[in-house]
Amino acid sequence: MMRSRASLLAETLLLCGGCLALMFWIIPAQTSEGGFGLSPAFLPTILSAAILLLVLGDGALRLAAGRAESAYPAGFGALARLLAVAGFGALVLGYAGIVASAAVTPAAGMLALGERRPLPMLATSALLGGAFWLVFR
Amino acid sequence: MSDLLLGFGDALTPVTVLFVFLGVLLGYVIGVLPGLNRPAALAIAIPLSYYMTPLSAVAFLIGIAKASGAGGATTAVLINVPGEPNAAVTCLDGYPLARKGKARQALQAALYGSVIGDVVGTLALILLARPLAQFALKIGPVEMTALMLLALTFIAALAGKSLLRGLAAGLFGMLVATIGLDIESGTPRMTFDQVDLLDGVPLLAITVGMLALSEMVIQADELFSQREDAVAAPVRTDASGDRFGWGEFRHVLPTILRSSAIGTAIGIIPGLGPSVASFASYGFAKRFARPGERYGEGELKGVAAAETADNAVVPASFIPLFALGLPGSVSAAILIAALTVHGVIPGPRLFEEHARLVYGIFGTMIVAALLMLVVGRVGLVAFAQLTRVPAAVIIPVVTMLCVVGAYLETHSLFAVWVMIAFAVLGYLMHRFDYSRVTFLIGFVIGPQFELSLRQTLIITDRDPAALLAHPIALAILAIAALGALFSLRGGSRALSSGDAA
Repeated sequence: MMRSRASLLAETLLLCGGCLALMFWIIPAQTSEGGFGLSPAFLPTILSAAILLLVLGDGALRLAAGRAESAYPAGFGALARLLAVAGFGALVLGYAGIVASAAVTPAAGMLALGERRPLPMLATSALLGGAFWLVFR
Repeated sequence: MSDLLLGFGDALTPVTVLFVFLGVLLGYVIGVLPGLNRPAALAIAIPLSYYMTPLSAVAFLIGIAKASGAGGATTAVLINVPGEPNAAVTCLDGYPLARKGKARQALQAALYGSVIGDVVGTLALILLARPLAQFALKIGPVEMTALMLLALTFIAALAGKSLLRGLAAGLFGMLVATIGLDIESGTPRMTFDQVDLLDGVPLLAITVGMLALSEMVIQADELFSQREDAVAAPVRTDASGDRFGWGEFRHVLPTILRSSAIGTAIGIIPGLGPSVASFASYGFAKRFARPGERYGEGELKGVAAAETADNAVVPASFIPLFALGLPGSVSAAILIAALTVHGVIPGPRLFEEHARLVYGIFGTMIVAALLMLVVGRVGLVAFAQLTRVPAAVIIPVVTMLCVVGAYLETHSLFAVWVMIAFAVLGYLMHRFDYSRVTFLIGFVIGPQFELSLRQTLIITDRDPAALLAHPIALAILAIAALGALFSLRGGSRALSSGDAA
C-alpha cells in the first residue's frame, strides 16, 4: 500500500500548524520575560521556527519528487490495546501498589494480545507478582 | 595513576563483578528474546539500577549493552531471525551454517568475535577518551556549540531515512528539553502550571516511553500482522563434526582483528552505530574473500565479521560520551540518563571530578567482556531455548516493567503518564519515519546546548562577524554544512537502522 500525496500534504500541514501554534500561542503564553539576560522564550521560539523550516523543506521535497512512499501497513489497534494495558497498569499502581500492578498488568496484556489460556496467564502473574513482592514488600 | 588503580580495584570488587555478571546474563537473555532490542532493554533496566551505587549501576547497564549484542546472534543463527536489528547480517551466513549442522561453530565464532571486538573497542576507549577530554577542556562555548550542531547533523543524517526529518526530530528533542525552569532567570517555561514539570520532563520517562514501550507497540503491530516467517526448521546444536577448535579460530582470527578495527572506527563517529559497522565489516570481508570462501552460503568468517564489528561499536561509541559529553549512540544516551540519575554529569570534566568512577567504569567494561565469554560459553545451548518464548508473553511483561520503572524514579504517577504519552509520540515518530534516536539525543544534549549557545551569544555580542575570531568553530560548522549537503544530495539514503544505534 502506498501513501497518497494528500496524506503527505496533511502530514506537512499538521506539523507546520503545530510549529506555528508553538511559536505564536503556546510559547508566548507559557513563558515570561525573565527580567534579565536572554528571554526564556528565545531558544524554544528559535527551535520551533527551525523545525517549521525543516518540515516545510522536507514536505516540499517529498511532494516535488513525487516518489511513491509505502504506507505503514498496520492500523492503530496495537497502539490502542497496549495504551489501554499501560493505562490500566498505571491505575492499578496508583490504587493498589507496585506488587498488584506487576501481577495484574501482564495478564491484562496477554489477554489484550489474544492469549486465552488461563495457565500461562496465571503463571506469569504469579511469578512476577511473587518476584515484585519479594523486592518491594 | 592512583585513580586508575583505585578505579580498576573498584571494578574488581565482588559486588561490582556480581552486577556486571547479572547485567551480562540479562543482556544475553534480552538479546536472545525476539523483539527486545538493546535500547529497549537498557531503558527498562535503568529503574532497576536506582538502588545501586553509580559504579554498580553503570556496570549492570554496560553488561546488558554488551551481552545483548552478543546474544542477538543466537536467534540469527538458529532461527534466521536477528534478536537485534544489527544481527541481520549474521543471518546471512549463520543460518546456512546451522542448516549444515554447524550451529555450534557459528555461535562460537560469533561469541569469540564479539568478545575480541569488545575488548579492542574498550581499549580504544581507555586510550582515547582522556586525551580527547583534555583537548575538549581547552575549547570554549563557541566551539562546543558548533560541535554539538555537528554531532546532531551527523546523527540526523545517518540515523534515519531523511536528514531534514532527522534534524527536525533532534531539534524537537531540544525543544522538549527547554521545558522547566529557565537556566538563566529561573522562571517557569512551558510548564503548563504543573509543579512536576518545574524540573523538566523526566529523562527516564522519556527514555522508557520512547524506546521501550513504543517498541512494544511496534512488536505488537508485527504480532497482529501474523508474520510467521520467523518459524524455521529446528536446528541441531549438538551435531558431530560441529566443534570450534584452534584450527577454526586461526581461520577466523584475521577477520576478527580487521573487523574489530572497522567497528571501533565506526563506533567513534556519532550516529553510525552497529548496523553500519556490521554491514561495512561484512562487505569488507566479502570483498577480500579468498578463493573457495562462499559468503552468504555458510562462511564462518561472515559470522565473525558481522558480530565482531557489532560489538566493537558499543565501547567505541562511549568515546565522545566520556570525552565531550556527547552521546554518539542511543546506548550512550541511555548511559547519560543512568549517570544523571546518580548525580554524575558526563563531559570533559568527568575525568577531573570523577576520575576514579570513570576508570572503574573502564575496568567493568573489561570485566564484562571476560564474563561475556564465560556466560556465552556455558549458556550457549540454554540461551537457545529462550527463542521459544512467545511475543504474547514478552510484550505484556515489558509493558509492566515500563509502567513500574517510570513510577520508581519519583514514586509519582505523573512520570508514568508522561512515559505513556512519549510512547505514543515515539510510535508515531516511528510510523512517520522521524528518528526517535535523534529526538532522544537532542533531548539529552539540549540543556548543554542552551548553556553553550547563551555563552556564545554573550561572547560574540550577537555579532555573526565575531565568529571569525573562532576558526575552529567555523571549520566545525563548515564540516556540518558540507555533511548536510552531501547527505541531501545523496538522496537521503538511510545508512543504518538508527533506532538500534
